[in-house]
Amino acid sequence: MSIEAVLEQFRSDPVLNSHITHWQQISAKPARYGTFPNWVQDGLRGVLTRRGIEQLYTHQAQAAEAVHSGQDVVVVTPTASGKSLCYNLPVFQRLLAEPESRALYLFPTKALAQDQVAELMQWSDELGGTIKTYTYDGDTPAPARRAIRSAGSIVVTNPDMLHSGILPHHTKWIRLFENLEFVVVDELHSYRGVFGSHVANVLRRLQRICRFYGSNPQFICASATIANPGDHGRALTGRHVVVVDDNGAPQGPKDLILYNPPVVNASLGIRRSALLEAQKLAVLFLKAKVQTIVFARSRTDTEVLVTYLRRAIHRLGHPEMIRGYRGGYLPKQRRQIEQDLRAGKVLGVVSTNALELGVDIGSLQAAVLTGYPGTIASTWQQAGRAGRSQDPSAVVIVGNSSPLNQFVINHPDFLLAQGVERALIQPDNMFILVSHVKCAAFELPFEEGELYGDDDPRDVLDYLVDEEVLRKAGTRWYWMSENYPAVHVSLRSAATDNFAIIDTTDGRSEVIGEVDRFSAPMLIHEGAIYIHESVQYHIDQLDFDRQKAYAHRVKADYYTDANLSVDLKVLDVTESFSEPGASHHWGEVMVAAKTHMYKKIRFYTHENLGWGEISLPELETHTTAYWFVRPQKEHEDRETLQSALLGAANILQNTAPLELMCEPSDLGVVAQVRSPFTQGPTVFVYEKYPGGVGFAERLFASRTGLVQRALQVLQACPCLSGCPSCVGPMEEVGIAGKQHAQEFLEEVLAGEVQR
Amino acid sequence: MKFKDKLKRFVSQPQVKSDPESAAPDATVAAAQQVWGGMAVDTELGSYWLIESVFDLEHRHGSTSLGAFRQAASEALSFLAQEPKLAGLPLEHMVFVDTETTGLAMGTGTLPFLIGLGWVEAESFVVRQYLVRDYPEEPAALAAVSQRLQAAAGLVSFNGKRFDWPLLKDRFMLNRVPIQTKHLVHLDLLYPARRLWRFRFRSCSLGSLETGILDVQRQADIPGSEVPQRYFDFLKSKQPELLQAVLHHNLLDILSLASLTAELANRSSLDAMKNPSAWELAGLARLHWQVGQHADSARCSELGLTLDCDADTRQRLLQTLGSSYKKLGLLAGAAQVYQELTQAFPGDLQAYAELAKYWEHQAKDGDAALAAAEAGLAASRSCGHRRFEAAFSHRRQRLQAKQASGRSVLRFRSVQT
Repeated sequence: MSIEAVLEQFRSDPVLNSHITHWQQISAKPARYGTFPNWVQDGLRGVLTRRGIEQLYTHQAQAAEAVHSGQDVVVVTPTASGKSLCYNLPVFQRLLAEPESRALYLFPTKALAQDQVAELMQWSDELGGTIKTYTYDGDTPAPARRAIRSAGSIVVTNPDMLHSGILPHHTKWIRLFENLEFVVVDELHSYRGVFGSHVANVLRRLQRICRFYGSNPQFICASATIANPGDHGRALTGRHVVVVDDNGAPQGPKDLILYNPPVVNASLGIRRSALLEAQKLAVLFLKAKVQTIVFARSRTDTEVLVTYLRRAIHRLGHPEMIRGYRGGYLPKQRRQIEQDLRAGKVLGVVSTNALELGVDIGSLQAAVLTGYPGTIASTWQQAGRAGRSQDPSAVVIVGNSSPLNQFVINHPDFLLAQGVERALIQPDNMFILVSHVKCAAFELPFEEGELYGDDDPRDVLDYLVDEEVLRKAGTRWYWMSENYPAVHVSLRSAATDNFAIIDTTDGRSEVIGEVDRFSAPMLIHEGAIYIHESVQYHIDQLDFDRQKAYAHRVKADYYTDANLSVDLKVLDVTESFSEPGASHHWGEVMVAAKTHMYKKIRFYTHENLGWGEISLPELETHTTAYWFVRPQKEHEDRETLQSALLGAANILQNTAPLELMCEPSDLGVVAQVRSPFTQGPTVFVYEKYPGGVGFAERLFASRTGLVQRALQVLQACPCLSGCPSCVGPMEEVGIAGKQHAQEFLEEVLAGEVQR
Repeated sequence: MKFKDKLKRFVSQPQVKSDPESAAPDATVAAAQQVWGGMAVDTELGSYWLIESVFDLEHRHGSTSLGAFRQAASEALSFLAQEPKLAGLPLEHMVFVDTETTGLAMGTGTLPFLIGLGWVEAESFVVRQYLVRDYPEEPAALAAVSQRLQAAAGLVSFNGKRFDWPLLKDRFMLNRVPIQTKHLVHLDLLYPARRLWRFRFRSCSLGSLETGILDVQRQADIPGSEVPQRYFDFLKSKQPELLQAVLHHNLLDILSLASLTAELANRSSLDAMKNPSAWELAGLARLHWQVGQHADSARCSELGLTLDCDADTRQRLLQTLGSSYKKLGLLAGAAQVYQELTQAFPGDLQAYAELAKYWEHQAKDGDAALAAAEAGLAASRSCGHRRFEAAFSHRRQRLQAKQASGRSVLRFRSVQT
């Protein structure tokens, strides 16, 4: 059976067909080639020829040419379009011509770096082995490090290692920094939000060190498709990057199917599990011997799906025909799976988004996505895993019950008609900036008038002098502390410090999970029932200062729900815009969160079993927010307005991430019936990361679009009067909450042309 | 909020700060001279503060005189330090080095603000301390240090191979101060000290060796961990008194390096040692054994066993002696040593194993071998050592089987005859 036969089954089976909300046929595109650069040495050309590459696709030729002419470049093309060639070709050419030259490759994860190095080493071997290529990360053994520092032509590492292991020891890396010609930043799109803002600062520090050693490397970035590659590349590297996005890689015809699992509980708006539906659909492909990749949302889901699929197809052959692939597998094991996939020995692979990034597994015929991946960009990345150059392929996106998923599954235009998202970063976020100015000062004293990023960092430096971390002497600022600042700055954790949850059952002392500082009062206050991998824990003690919670396993018939009161004060309005139905703003706010008490609620019946008190300090965050104010109306019922605002805020929390490439948990919402600052009914969407990383500004820019989207999601939700998938459960927003929220949002959009 | 406000305040009304440099330099210099001694040295690269202390070579620092190390043979020291390049070097051309830093973190943000050098010059022991009174003085101080080191045959430090020297090399590079380092032999006393004295002073810190070996008592010394903060306080207030203890601490470190070199040289071979102690001999025996000098090792152990010593040292001496005898082919002697070990230290499992091997393979006494294996098995059970237990149990089984088959052969023969 072929893929066409499976697709025919989708069309003809009435039950299957009734769950398909949209079917898009994407037509094939032939390959387009550019001129092969005449400056490429014969030996290097031979390396390509041996891999069957006789010509370069348009984007490859353009990128190589731009790099060769000395420009900073960002290449933007889909998965498996031969992106790494865009940088490897010009880099190897230069290293062959000037053997003293060095290149630094950055990948977001250790695993990706190790993948790349295998390929680079093969190139190098074929070219006579003069170009020494190494990975340098936490796993690199100490004896090898010295050789890498002095002899590595290409050093492949990750931003974390650059930040804490290389830059603070730059004197050991003098050969690299003096001769650094290229910095390659692959998977540029993954450096966004808080992580990206940190990485932008690491790259500022890198360039500062390069200046000290008299080098000025070119930046070559590669990215999955994002809306703003040029701006993002510029924000991240500080360079004016040339965008190369004329993708010349061929593409076969592709069928994209949006699939919505059937409703099982109409009043609660609950649908059949996306995981089980995805399994069912994947089996259709696998039984037809169609090589298939299934994307799962979590590591656990991956393992569950592997088990299910193996059971389902056990008659077809060996269980090893279905493999899992996720972070946590050993590199050797991953290499084997990749190889078996390319060789066709593996029929089905279940992966987390680990395979969304540039791991080379060749291309499969079908992809099944368990739920909307959260961004349009990821969706296309994952969909791109299916489709060999000229052959037909199929992609099925299986929606889950979340409002985001329901919106996407029911609005194909959202995916198909508009472009992908923008990647946002804010390298000048005060907290992030100050952390990295410290690290930079440790690396080299700051000179008066020296720029950091685009700005004079004098204010920050003087502040750090006040804090007695730096000392100004003569015309320089020097590091004046015993501490090693990079150790205290993590590039990846969103909150500055996490709380550990420790299982003490039967004398154990095992960390089972972490929650961030701002969720701690809600989730792990004393008396809370904390659920982790479906096991219940009773929190016995919360040591707020040491950031630890002690818990033991229980089997309780209730869960706990803490009341968080969030107070939000506007400190400064950055920008405002008036629409007929509402005024929109963004600016700086102070969010004060305090939990006073919690409820014990019995499972299923939802009876209230009692209250408990929580005495924890109030947490203040200075951050940025977007908000809108509907004008005050006379004689408006306060309770109606309250329920409308609450519902509107809840749905915005879930839909705002659609604009942002971020997680719902990165944002918070506050509704005020009569805000002391705006004097009217106001909904705030604020950033949870202190200082914000640019989300508020972006929400302001899309303002009515954002509200419209929220309204569409609300309207599309099949529930009667509110559910957790839209405005929130009826118990919270009241019996008419959904209706009130809808009316409120319509008023805000008054005068707007409604789609 | 606070922070942003603070920044805003800075932007709107820049504060006028009193610049420490501009505050009456003469008064500062005069006060410093009084407290520290020494003087400011002005160079093309800026200035730094230099304090020179000159001692008579006969000056006693603890148990020995400062000049004593000159008489030591560098060959013997080179053996103890396992530093072949040291052999034949004139020790009086070595420079003793110790630094005080703003922290222990390696990396470019740690400043060695005080560099102490000591050497012999014109029949005196000279200590020069190069003090960076504030960050901008570092290049000038480093240039002076570099110049002095270029003329040296080598360095003597304590833990300098891992800390002071890599740090200094980084600083030379960062400040673009030229220095040739290839020719410099580096004698880091920590390693020979550990070889010789590890059985007595577990940490082998300079402090423990001062009290235990050199008989140096420091009065009102500043603990090393307080040094960085003391320097930061000085930077803020510029009160010279704050650094007085640090300067003294550094000076004593240099003097101790000189005395320690002499003490180590005097103990670097059996012949050089006067009144050796058992634990030193245990250290020396082990070193000789490690480098394959088994006869020397045996001599050290034999002598050590004639001296008063604690049980641990005695056990170590016996162990080393046993292995030396084995290497020398003195197998009966080795067996005697292992016998003694098992009697005095019933927990010494390796000794049972050695004995069992000896009886089985050398003396060909199956019963004695079996007895040793059984004793070893019992001992390893009582101290819960799984690996040894398995090995002994396996050995016993094998010996029993061998005996049984041996007997059956005998019986068979007897039937034949």
